[in-house]
Amino acid sequence: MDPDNLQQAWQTDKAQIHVKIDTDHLHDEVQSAQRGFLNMIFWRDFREVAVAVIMIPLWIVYGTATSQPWAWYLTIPALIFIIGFILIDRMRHPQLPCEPSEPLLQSLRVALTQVEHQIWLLRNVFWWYLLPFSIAIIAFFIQVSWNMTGSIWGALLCGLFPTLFVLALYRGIYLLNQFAVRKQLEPRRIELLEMLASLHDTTTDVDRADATIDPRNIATEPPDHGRFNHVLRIFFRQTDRAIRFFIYGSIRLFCMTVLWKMPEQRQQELFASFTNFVDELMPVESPRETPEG
Amino acid sequence: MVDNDDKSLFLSWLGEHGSSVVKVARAYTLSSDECQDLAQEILLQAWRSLSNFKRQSSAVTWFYRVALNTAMNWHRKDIPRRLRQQPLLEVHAMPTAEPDSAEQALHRETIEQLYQAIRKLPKADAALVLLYLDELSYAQMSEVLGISESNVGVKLNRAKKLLSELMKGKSHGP
Repeated sequence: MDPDNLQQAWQTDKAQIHVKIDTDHLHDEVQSAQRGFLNMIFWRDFREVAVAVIMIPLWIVYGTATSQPWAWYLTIPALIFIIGFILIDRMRHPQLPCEPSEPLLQSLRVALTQVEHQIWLLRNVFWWYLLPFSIAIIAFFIQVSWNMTGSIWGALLCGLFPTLFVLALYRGIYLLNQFAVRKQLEPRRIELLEMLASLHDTTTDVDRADATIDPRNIATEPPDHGRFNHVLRIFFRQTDRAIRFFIYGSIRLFCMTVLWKMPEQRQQELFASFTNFVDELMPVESPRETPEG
Repeated sequence: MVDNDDKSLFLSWLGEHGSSVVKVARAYTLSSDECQDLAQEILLQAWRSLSNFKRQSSAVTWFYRVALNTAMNWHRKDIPRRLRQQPLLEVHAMPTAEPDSAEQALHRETIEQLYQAIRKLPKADAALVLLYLDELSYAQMSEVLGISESNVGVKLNRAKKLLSELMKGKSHGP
């Protein structure tokens, strides 16, 4: 059918639709939505910052009341660093929705910038959130173990298991963040890039950021920062293997002890669905070449 | 604060072109419930951004900016608005003078096929097609999308070709 005929059919259909809008109700809903949005922003900031601010005096009071070793107080600079990081990041990159009356291209660019920043935050959650806490907690464990045993080897041995537990827990938090990036943010980023690419100007040679976008070349892997990251990657690959081995063993044990009355085929199916979820959460990373230089 | 003149202009425009809200919502959703949700969201966003409405742009381009931005950022997984608020709009099909004929049935079928084809287009192309079907000029489309008029021409030709192919596929389909 010719597009002009479709246009005509569309206009005829449009003329047959009558819409009645309750404007008073609309006004009330906008007020209520605005209040809801401000509440949401307030509680988000409260959750992330105010909780940490409240934790600092509580940490000091508990530490002095129970005569904790000095390493206990290392958590305070960690909390201050995280609060500072979040506040500065909020100021530099306010995650406010784009004004809806902006031209589409402009809105898409703003949305892309916000999604890319969110991806950057979650990919680097190790550096700005997990590492400060890990250092403080592991130092505390080692100092307590040292005080208990009085020797370096004793401190290392006693502190090993709680340290491993903290590392595994934080690795789990890190993997959950990367899972969110893969499942939610990356698809959105690719969708936005595709929309931007489909709107980019093909009639001029203006060198604009979106003019060079080719969705086929969109990187879905974090950028490689050289040898240090390579060492970290090897370390985490081994940790993941250990965690995966532990989880698989636990699931198998769970199937054998709790679900033993179930038919074996059903057990196998459940085991397969559990392990699929684990594989999705912790995808097996293929070994890479050592970076040059 | 929303200026009373802007408010009355917007309301009078909605009175004439309110069906555009429903049409944009229907083009970007699959079910009637989702369509209702998105239409309400478009209305809310339009009302909210009414204070930013500059009279340099026409009401139609301003409205389409809001509607398309909302539709493109709308997620099907959002909490259904219809579950937590009273409907903001009621849609009525105006009775036609002629009795229900085979021609009207064919017309309805064409419109349904058209919606299905639009949903299959890339989102940006779907936006262009909607603007074209609503008889916006190249200058207005360029203002809505933020791209040059010559680029609108190139993109629109491509989108129309794609739409025709999709419609052809539909009409030859089972």
